[in-house]
Amino acid sequence: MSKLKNKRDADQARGGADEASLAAACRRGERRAQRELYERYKDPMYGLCLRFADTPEDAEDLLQEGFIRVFRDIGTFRGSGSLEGWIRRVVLHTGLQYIRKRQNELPMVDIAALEHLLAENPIGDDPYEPGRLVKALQQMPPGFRAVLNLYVVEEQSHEEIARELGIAVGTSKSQLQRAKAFLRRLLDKTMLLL
Amino acid sequence: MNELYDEEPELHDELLRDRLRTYAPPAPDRVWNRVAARLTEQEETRPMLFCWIIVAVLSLLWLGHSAYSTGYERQAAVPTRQQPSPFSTPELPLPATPTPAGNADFTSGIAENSTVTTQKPSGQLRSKAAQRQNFAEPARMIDAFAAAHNATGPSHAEPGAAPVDLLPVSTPAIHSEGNQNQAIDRLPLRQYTLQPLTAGPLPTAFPALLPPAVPVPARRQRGFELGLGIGPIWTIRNEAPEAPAPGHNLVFLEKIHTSSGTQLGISLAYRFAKRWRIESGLWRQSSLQHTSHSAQLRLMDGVCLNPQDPGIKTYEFQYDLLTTSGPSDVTVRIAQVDPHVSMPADEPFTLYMSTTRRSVDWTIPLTVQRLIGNGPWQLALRAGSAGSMRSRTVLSVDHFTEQCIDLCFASNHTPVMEARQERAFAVQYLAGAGLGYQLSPRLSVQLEPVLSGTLWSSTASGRPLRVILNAQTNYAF
Repeated sequence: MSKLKNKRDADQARGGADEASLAAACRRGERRAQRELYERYKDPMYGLCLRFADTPEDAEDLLQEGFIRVFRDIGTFRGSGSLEGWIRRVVLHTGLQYIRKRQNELPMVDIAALEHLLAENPIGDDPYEPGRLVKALQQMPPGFRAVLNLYVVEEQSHEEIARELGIAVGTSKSQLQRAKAFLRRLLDKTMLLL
Repeated sequence: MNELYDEEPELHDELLRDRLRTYAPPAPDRVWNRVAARLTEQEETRPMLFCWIIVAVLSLLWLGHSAYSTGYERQAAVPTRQQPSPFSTPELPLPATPTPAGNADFTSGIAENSTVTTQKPSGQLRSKAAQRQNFAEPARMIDAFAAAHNATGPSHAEPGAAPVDLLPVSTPAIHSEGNQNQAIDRLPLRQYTLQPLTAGPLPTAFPALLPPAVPVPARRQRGFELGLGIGPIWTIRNEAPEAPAPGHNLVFLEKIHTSSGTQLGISLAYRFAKRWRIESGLWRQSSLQHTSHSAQLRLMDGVCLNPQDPGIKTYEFQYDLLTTSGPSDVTVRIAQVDPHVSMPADEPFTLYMSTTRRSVDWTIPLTVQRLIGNGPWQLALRAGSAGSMRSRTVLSVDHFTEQCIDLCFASNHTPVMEARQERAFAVQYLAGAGLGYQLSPRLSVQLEPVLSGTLWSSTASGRPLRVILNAQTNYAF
């Protein structure tokens, strides 16, 4: 009986809860609402994490850390914008922190992974296939990846990027050009010589 | 792709944006399990943290109280020879009112003259025999105690027994004439003679409840003690970096990841009172600090050491490195691996480095210690100050990377970093609370967390705060 009741409640929560009530329930720490929120936005956020992370495993860690922060800071969401946009910003900042940490490490290009990637995606396929693009992004140095993501995908200006990453505006511009060139060469199999 | 990028770069960007922004692969289900586990852990951790704090505080209080009270009891249990009291009152004549011969008459007298009646909760009046029993019980206990400890006197079990060898104890005030309280008037004047007290343990009503006696090594009241201490150091708050020196246009930004170290030292203490020590000595504090730096560089800011060389070019940069002990001059030398790649001299690039800083400080403390407790365990409270001098700093680069592919630094080529630092002096305050144990009359051990904060420093503007867990052995001579 209680299982049926729980299921009915879950169905109701899943179907009817709008963003504000969902956020309010999450604020109260209701695990069912947190699960609902996670299920709603996990896939686009995982795609975002994959773009910032080096590996799919790191992306999972980023997704986990991002949602932990979402549930911790959901009290600061006032409902002025969309909940998805707010969650996206939180996860994005988690990704940027990851990039900042990775910047202190050596840029390593995994040649074996790159060969595997190219074998899986032979020439002639759509060069803009998202999975392939993401895997190419993962092969880039963290700094390039961050600037390319923020400028091209998140549509931030160079001033915003410079502020986010703590670099000069000129550096952001030059990094972007190099990142694009890097991506081009990577996707055209020319970066195997690295 | 190349054609599209060359011809219409904006369209290329838009394609990238569309494809990447809408990319939403299914997230693995295991991630939610991990998120839920973390959330549960956080919810459980918060009350548990408070519980632990409460338990820790209560344990400390209990420990302190035990150490103090155990010492107090042992001090009280030291046998002393008691002298006869000079204030013994002479034997006074018995009052005119005939004293009841025994306890039975006494209690019956009370019952007859008193108007007080007692009632059981059920409303039933107590019997006279029960009332007599209630009044007689404390007196019987006193008699039993006196009989067990060589005192002689009238026994309530044997009414009418005459007092023998009585030490005169009397309460004349209650025998004044005209006293209307017959019950007090009729109190039997019982007099006891106590045997001369001899040295020995005091009687105890509940011997089983007392802790077993532990032999306490006799502690020296005064004298010098030599100590040897060792312990780890944790930095709670690091020093704040200073502003760059004028004339240096390139600055490293520093992030401190971890900072820890060890302390090794000798101490000389003088116990000037039973519970007070003054202590000084020499501590060697070595610390290890992992930091990361980032710098905005341009080739034009450096000096090419081999401009005529067609091969690998080496650049040298002079920096003002912001450190935890003030600014220091740093030389970074980087080699460009690929000589065929040219880079504009004014093109900024970012260099990231992780460094390890090893430093050694010599500290002379001067502290006063208050000891609490008389048993083998003692609480020790410490307060004082210390002067320290930084003698040596070694800086090494663990790894580095740069956001600049055209310059092509080799990833296995670590920049050479040399740091020259001025000597640093600081005055610190010390405060600690620890626990000591007396192993023998001359030997004791002590474990004590000491908080060390900087009051003044000759170089840095910050106020670092450190905790030292000092384990020390003291030898009294």
